[in-house]
Amino acid sequence: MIGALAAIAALWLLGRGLRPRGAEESTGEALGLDFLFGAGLGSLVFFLFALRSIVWAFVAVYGTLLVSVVIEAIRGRGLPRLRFERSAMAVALLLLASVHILRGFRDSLAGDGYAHWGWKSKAMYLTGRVPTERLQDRERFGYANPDYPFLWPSLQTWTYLHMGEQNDEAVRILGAAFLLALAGVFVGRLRIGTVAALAAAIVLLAPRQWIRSGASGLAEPPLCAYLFAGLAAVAEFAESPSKSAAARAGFFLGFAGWTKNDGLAAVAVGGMLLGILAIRKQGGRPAAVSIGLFAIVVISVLLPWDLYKHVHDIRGYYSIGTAPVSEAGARLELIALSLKSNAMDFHRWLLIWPVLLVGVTLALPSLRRSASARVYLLGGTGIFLCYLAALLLSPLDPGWQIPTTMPRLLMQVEAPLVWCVAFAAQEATLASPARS
Amino acid sequence: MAAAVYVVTGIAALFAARELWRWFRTRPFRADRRTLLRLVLGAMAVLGFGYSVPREARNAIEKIGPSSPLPPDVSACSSLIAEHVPFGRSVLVVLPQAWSLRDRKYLETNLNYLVCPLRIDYAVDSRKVAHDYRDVDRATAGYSDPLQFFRPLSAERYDFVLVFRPEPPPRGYERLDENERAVLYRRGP
Repeated sequence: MIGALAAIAALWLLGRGLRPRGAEESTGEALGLDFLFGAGLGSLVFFLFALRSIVWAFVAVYGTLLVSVVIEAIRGRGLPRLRFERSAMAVALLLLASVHILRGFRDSLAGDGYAHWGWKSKAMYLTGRVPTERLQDRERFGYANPDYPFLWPSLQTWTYLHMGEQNDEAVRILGAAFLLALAGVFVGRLRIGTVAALAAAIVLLAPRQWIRSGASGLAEPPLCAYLFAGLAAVAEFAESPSKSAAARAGFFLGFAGWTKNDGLAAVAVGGMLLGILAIRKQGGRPAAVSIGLFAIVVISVLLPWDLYKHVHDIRGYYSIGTAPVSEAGARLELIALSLKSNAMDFHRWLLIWPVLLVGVTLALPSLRRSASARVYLLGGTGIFLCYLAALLLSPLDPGWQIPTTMPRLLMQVEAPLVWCVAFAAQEATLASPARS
Repeated sequence: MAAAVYVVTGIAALFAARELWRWFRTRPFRADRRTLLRLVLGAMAVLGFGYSVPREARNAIEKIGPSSPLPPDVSACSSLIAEHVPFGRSVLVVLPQAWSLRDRKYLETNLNYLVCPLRIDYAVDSRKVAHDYRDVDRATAGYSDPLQFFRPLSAERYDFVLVFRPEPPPRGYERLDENERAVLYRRGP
């Protein structure tokens, strides 16, 4: 396990040196964002070099880490001073976090954790490089979604290399690390006082869907974390537009797109929100600079994978066409049924969805007054609408695809919506960050 | 162990609830939206912590959940392949017709991941039944892939064929080893 922890610590250190900083960050938020940025950048570097060899990739990431440590030393950042909140809610959240970690040690991967993500990382580890021929073999390995990007398999292989073996436990611990990073960012961005922020984090992470997901080997933990961190950067841009916030939004939303194809919806919606905000709040040349910076960062994160797919003719299931329009009614009915069954599933969701529906409706007057709250609300709902559109157009069997994917899609947009309800429950004081 | 989980969670929940209550009382009680939202947030935090933490912690510690060791079919299959099939050689695994799609998928995902992710194909003998009523016309003689849109597979392509009982042996292959659930064949001379 020391190998897995070293792999995670190296990613965090990478992010700590190279991540563009926000104006006011609590310790928990900074820790979470450092890890997320390091994991995103590290996986990108790893993938690029793993096209040749995973040994080269391993060395290249450590080379980047060396640069990061030098930058860190020059900027005088050093290690963060950890401050533990003396609060019973903090203890409760720590207990919840320990359950996530415990499940990481004891649980088993989900089917797609084996067959999609795990297969890719094992193939990469066994063949010693990105398994291009296998990804091209649609007949044999089409079920493993070869067109899905390689952030998660790259990180898994990175962890295998630290351990010297393929290891399921490491994958599950990595999933828990992403959820804890999300918790840090979530509490940090909820600048509403410690108790309320910690309570909201418990509401977010307590349902079984989340606890199971961290240990499932699925790509949802990183995607949820990147999606929220990206929207948080756009929300910061909405409060006070800056090039740094635009760049951070580009990085985190770009990493969401580099995690999973679903994340491209976050890139589109987040990018649109940032563009509108830049034009309305900055206007003219500053707006063009912010939008341009965001676009450059996003493109530089997503371009390598898109080029790779294009060069090697790796195609996804949308390449076989889209569903006929005549099926739209039946698909909408399936979507409605699936939403209903998730909303009523106490064991999986603890009734969070009916509560969020009522809560967000009640919170609307408060949310409309805050620029950042509008970003979370419009971002979360906009991304979910994109997902529904994708389900309407998908060529796969809707009877299988809609019920299978709906819990994951709901999970991806839950954090921004819980943020909205918690924000409205407390008099918002955005000037001072919550301590965590 | 379960008792310890409940005691620790219970004590933490009591203190957390007290803190939540103090937070709730920092604002005068009024019959308005914000009070309702504060109530909802507090209640959901109590429910989430009180229900999920002890349950999931106990589940993780005592393994009362669905996670379990590999089923005998997967173990039987993987042991034969691991023992006799060198890395880089291809295997066709012929699954029992009687298995449900769910069982087949379970075996496939486990084997792909655990044993040899790059060299196994899976088939059912399509002479017997079509696997999906919509594709009844596409069931042709020979093997077909149960999960990949009825792609016809030819046993000649593979170095080894592993056949689950009671499926018939493939032609042109010689028996190599067997166990209680499956028989492994090697391509004949």
